[in-house]
Amino acid sequence: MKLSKLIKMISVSYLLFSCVSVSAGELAIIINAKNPANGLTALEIKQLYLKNNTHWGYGKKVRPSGYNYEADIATDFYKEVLSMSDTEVERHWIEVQYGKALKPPVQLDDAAAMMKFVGKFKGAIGFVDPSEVAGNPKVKTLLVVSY
Amino acid sequence: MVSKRIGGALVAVFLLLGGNTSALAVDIRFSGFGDVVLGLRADKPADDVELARYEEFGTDPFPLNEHDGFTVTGVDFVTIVDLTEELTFLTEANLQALRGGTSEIEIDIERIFLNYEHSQKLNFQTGLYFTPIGYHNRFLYSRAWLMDSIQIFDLFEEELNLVPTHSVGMMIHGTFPLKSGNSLRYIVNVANGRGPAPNAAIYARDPDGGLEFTWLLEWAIPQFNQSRFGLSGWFDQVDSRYLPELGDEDPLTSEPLSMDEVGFNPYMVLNTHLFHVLAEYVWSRREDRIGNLPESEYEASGFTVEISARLKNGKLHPYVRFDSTSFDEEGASPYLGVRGDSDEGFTRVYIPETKAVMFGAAYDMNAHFRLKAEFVHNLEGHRAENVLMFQTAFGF
Repeated sequence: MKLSKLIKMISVSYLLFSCVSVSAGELAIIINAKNPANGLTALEIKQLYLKNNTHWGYGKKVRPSGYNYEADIATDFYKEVLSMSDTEVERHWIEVQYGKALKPPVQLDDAAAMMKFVGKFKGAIGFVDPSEVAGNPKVKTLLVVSY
Repeated sequence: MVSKRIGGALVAVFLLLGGNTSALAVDIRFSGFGDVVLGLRADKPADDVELARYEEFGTDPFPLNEHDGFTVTGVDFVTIVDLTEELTFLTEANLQALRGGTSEIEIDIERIFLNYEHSQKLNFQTGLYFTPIGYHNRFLYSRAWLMDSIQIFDLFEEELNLVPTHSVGMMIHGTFPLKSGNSLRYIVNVANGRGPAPNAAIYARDPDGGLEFTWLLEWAIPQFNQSRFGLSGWFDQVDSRYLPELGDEDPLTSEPLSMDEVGFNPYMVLNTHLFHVLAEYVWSRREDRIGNLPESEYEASGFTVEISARLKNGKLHPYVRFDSTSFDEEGASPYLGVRGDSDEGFTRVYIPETKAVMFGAAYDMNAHFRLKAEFVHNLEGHRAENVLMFQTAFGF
């Protein structure tokens, strides 16, 4: 009896852990709801986020946003969308600031601040957990990345 | 290097203070670069004859890139001010110890420009900036921190100025997005012409009011980590003094020299997750305009190729590199070998050809700090045949 309970507990824990793993393996790339961009690939988003392309297709200047601490979601975004390490991303911004005088991403405190920033500026782009986006009319999801 | 020490110091102090002023209504960004090198060189030169000629007619008793002992190459401070959403002001001040037996520090303004971003396809920049040709030329002073290798390229060394390295003028630049994330970048520049000596071109000003024109087309491929292929070049008319023999000194009464200069500078940067290839070639020709030179035209060329691997999660970069510069006249052409200025007169100096192979490794301790070790084997030229170097380079 005790053994079967233990097996049951382990099974439930495993299932719960699996569910947590799945939900932690997604991120939503978000833009302002008024931004007409649609159906962009991860590569095109990378070009915009890193300011290799400085403007959206409809002409507005890109305003990338990031987090001002070493957030796990930032590392996941760099790896899954930019195909870069934290160090490579940091070097990239120092380089483009030096070479082209371009502004690096604005650093925000948390997902709520990023939602607010992206909702405010038409050219903004950011990334949050997909659950953060629901019900916010000022922000839309450009791409959901699962990993 | 031309130095405007007092003015430069005032500007640098102002900018440094400005960087800490929080009450201003504009965004101010601040970054910097620097490096320290330790060099250990063998006594034997790559070429005894070249060394003897260099010691007799060379440019400097404390020549550049002759690494022996510790060298503080200098520190660059960059201040960027976002005046409006579209208008940006950048200035870069370089602090460095003078070479030779002094402890004097000089301050140079490397860049000082305004950039107006109208759209992705159309931007305007005016002021003093790195001459927008080639790849290495455009990242001149952060290079120790950006580069895997240590030895400075003779081809892009501003005190040789085999290619123009700084311009004062105006450029139009932009990027056209292509299919699949590819893009085509262009830069067209018109600036003051090269000075009467090539190394006098930092604050370039042709005394005869001549202009320099440069162009660049660059194809960027995001599928290969922003790999790029570029074509670029320049046109200029250079006016100086004709000094026929090495060591000739000009009391400002010698014959004039006037040449049409044209240069071509293609390059390639190929990046994969496993290796990087960096290759750049420069060819230039100066054509006699007056008809008083022994030859009607003079050519110079050079190239650099570097292949590096990306190991240890991209942090460790072992590499091999080959550099070459060559001239069709001993000691470089009548223009490239001129040193001096219009006040004190000119001298014809010896610019040696160089060929060198290098191998080493760079290691990124973090995003701001790179350690390097390099062995240089000089195949030709006046430098020591074998040199071992270590460098710490930082950027923020």
